Amino acid sequence: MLDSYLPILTLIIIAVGFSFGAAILSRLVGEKKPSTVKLAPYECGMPPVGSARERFSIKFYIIAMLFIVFDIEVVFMYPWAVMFKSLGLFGFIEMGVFILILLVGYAYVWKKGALEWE
Amino acid sequence: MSLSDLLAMLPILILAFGATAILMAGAWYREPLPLLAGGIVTALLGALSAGLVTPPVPEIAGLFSAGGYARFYTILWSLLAAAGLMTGSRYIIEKRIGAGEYVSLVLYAAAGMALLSSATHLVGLFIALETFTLAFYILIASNRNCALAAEAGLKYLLLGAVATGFMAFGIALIYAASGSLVLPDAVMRLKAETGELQAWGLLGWGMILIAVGFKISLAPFHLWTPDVYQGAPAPVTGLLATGSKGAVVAALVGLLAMSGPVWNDLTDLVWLLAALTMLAGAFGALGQSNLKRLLAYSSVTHMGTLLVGVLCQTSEGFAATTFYVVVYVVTSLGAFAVIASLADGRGEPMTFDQWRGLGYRHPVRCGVLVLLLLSLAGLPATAGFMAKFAVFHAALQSGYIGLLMIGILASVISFAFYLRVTMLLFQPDEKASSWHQGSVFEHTVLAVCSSAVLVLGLFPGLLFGLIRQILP
Amino acid sequence: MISVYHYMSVAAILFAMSTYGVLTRRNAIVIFMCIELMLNSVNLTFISLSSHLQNIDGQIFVFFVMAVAAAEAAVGLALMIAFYRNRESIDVDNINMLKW
Repeated sequence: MLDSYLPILTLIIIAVGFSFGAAILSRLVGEKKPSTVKLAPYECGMPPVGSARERFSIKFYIIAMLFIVFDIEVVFMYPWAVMFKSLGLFGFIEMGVFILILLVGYAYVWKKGALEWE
Repeated sequence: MSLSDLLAMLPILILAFGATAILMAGAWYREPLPLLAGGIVTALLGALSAGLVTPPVPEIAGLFSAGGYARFYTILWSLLAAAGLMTGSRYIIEKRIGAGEYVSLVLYAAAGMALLSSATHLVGLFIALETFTLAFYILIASNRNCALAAEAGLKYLLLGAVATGFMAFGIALIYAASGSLVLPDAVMRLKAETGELQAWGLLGWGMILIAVGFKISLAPFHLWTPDVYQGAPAPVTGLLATGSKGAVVAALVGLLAMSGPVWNDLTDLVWLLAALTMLAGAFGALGQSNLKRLLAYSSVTHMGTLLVGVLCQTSEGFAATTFYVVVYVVTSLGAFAVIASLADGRGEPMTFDQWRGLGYRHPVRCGVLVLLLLSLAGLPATAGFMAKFAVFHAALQSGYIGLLMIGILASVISFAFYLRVTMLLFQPDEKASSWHQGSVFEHTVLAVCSSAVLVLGLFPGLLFGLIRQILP
Repeated sequence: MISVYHYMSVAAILFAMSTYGVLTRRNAIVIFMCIELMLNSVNLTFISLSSHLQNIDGQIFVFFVMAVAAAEAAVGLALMIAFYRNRESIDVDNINMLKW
């Protein structure tokens, strides 16, 4: 039983070993010539603009809020999906009602304009 | 869940689906009055259906009871929601708060409270508790432009969420000790356990008591109460002070009445909690100069007295507690409705300076306030007296003499600050300013509350007879 | 051999740590994270007990705890935005207009 986890263990050991090994090796043998440009934060090769500690727009929070709620509701679909066959038509209708309630919430959010970015 | 289950759940379904429909309607039509009227009708329909439709099954899906006790509280909380919408009507129109949101949240809260009072399963208990707590978080901060309200909301949220954590962990420990989440069953099995498992069960009970202590503000977990009451708008405070606490007490009484005396090992702890709460409330109120904060401390004292009734764990004690809950709900709601009805562009009258001499400007509503305050104090011939008398009588019969003495001491101290407000209202003051005239809705609520206080004070037997019949 | 007691011990330690965090942290969002941790320790307890007792009820409870935690997080974020708009801060030391 535990044998079947051996490949995963091997993979973990290799992954951890490689990343630590590479980091340590470059630290040991690498040449260090720090300069202002090199020490600046790396932004895809562009010159950095402003501070990284900028405020996020409040819109991110609203999207995060909506995401949390709708994301977690999916949790209730897992047990239903597992037991789908034995629950039969009744379970299907119940889940339909559940999703309908979520849709109502979605329509409300849409109408209230919480999904509009601008 | 079958059709008969759904029929048994009809009042809750009416409240919840009515709330959802009003929420959706509110997103499209912003006219507040039709939405409010729809909400009041929905709440009354919920109460009617709970009273008239006989449930075909005694228990809904093994989670909630559909017995007389559950129905009684369903009616009470539905009516409370209707009253809350009536007192809140002017507030949401004047402050331009989304009517659809306010109405639906109040109705959801009522559904949650009704479910909590009828929970027979720990899952049901947990969901129901969270349903109305979440609604209250939003309702308290519903006036987004008011810094005090946002602060009160955040404070209640942080403490409420901690209480939720304790509640859930307590339930987990009870599950660990008893292996069941079905309520009478789990508690019965806990009684039979010995040794380590019993210790877990006791710890679980202790954690649930902490959570309950936060929710109904027992000392030493009561510190949020005055702040949140002051910050929240008066119509919401009225609901928060009555419904959210009453429903928790109702669930506790229902649970203990179903499963017999189970608190034997916790008696001392609950005794201490009750004594501390009564004294903390009474002494805390003495130093207040703000009516809303004073009412908050008064509610703390009342919760302590309620706990005495629960502690007795006799049918007498449970009946007295249930009676007390009803009386407290009616009285406290009325007191906050008076504050809400006086509110105008300047806000609500809160500090004692604002109340001084108001009795001459608004004699009827201040008279009602005095009646309600005297009932809260427990003056004979008011409902409050009968309620206190019943609880203390039950305590005497169960042999809690010390607690009885502390209760009477707290009542005497309470008299002092209630009388102080009464005298303040009728102190001659030339500078007393006029406040709002109040709407028809608000006057209706005040009329209902004050007459209920008088009727229950003069004929308490009516309600007591009913309560004795429905107690599980 | 790892028994249910080990799982419950981890959960209890998590719960105690998060309670400590709630009591000592000053930033409302961090307090909220601690509360989520509390609820997750409850989840861990329920899942291990459910497997130990061979009783499915515990796992069902976990679903509801998760849903409640999500709803609380959403409402909490909304309230913090409202608070921030009024006060320009979410430090609980600034929750001081109403005295405790």
